[in-house]
Amino acid sequence: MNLATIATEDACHLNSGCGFPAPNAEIFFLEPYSLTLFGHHLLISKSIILALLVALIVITFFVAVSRSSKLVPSKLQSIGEQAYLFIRDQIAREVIGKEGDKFVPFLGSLFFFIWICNLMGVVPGAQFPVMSSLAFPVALTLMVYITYVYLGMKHQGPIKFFTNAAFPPGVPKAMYVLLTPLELLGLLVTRPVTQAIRLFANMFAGHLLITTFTVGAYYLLSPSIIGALGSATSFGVTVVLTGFEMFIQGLQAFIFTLLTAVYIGGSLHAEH
Amino acid sequence: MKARDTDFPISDADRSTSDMAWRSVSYLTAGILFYGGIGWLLGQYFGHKSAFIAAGVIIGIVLALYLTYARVSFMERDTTTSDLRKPPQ
Amino acid sequence: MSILAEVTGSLGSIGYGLAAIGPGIGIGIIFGQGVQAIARQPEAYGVIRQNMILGFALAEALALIGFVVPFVFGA
Repeated sequence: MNLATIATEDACHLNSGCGFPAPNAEIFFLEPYSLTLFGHHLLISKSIILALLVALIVITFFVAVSRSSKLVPSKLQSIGEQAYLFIRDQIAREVIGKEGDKFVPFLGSLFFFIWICNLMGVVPGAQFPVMSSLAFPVALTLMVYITYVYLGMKHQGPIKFFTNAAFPPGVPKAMYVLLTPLELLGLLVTRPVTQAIRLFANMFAGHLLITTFTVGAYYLLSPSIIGALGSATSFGVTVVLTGFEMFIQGLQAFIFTLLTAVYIGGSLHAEH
Repeated sequence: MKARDTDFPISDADRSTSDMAWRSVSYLTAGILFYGGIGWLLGQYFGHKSAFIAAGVIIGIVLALYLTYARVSFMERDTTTSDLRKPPQ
Repeated sequence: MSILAEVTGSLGSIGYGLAAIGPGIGIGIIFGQGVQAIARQPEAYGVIRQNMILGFALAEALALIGFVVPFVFGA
């Protein structure tokens, strides 16, 4: 099927009078696949399949990289070492400090899992960013939240962890009544909420934007000058946005991991 | 490999303030939620809901900004003076 | 007077979109100039970052006000 037949076929195009079918949030709620396994009827959504696939990819990659490590690294091993050094030097040591090396495995798996999950948004065939389902960022954030609250209670003492955070230094004593709720809410509620929402919203909005311009390119494709020009422009914007989206995907994975490191570092050292 | 001191280009004092920008967003959200929520409750009780929520939101933002200012100036107090005393490289 | 044009749907989202333009530009300017200032005068890092964070918090507050206003006056 070439462009001319697509443009003149009996579907929703510029002059067929059906209006622009703008994509909305429904594109994120796909029909789940149903399958029967050991007599149980299961419904599996695309995002779960992709997340399992990504987990498999990340595990396989790092096992393959570290299986036969030599002093003179092979090509695969040096890629793995670059990945490890990036997490260690750019995130763990930079943000946490001397104790950072212990957390490199955690931060590394977090970063690569999120990054490849996001990347699924532009991989042909998959084209669904896993992190645009709110449940995935929330689950990851809960994991991070439990980690830093536990570490803070362990390193600063179970009560001290909260009192250290609740009473900001450099403030007159009378203001504590007004400011302590903010500190506690900030520590316990808005921190994890903003961390999860930031990842979710970026992936959601990016996918919606790309879909809008793709649908626009299809809708405008019609035998007229405005249609042809508009369709070409819309397609060009789609290509540019896809490149931009790949940058955002890496950046959001990095920011999520960086914030995790910041919170862990804040739990390890009490502020004074 | 053991970590050496030269592997850590950033001092501890600098590190503790590096998350302050993220934290200010968290304070602002918490301030709006908490004091806006109090305004909402008062509005439920007394009527004039919009006015109470708006006042609560403004108070929350002002307090969050004050908290950010207090935290930043307290944290930077040590690093700033030592930075200025250091001869330029 | 007859109605010439009408906007329906989620007006709060449109309002927040408009309200986020200014703070977006402002935060960009703050951090851009801040990085430039640090590059020119690395020894004043502490002072520059302190003012950068304060300016950022002020601009961010405007964006959050834009987010809250539809909830306050919309219902």
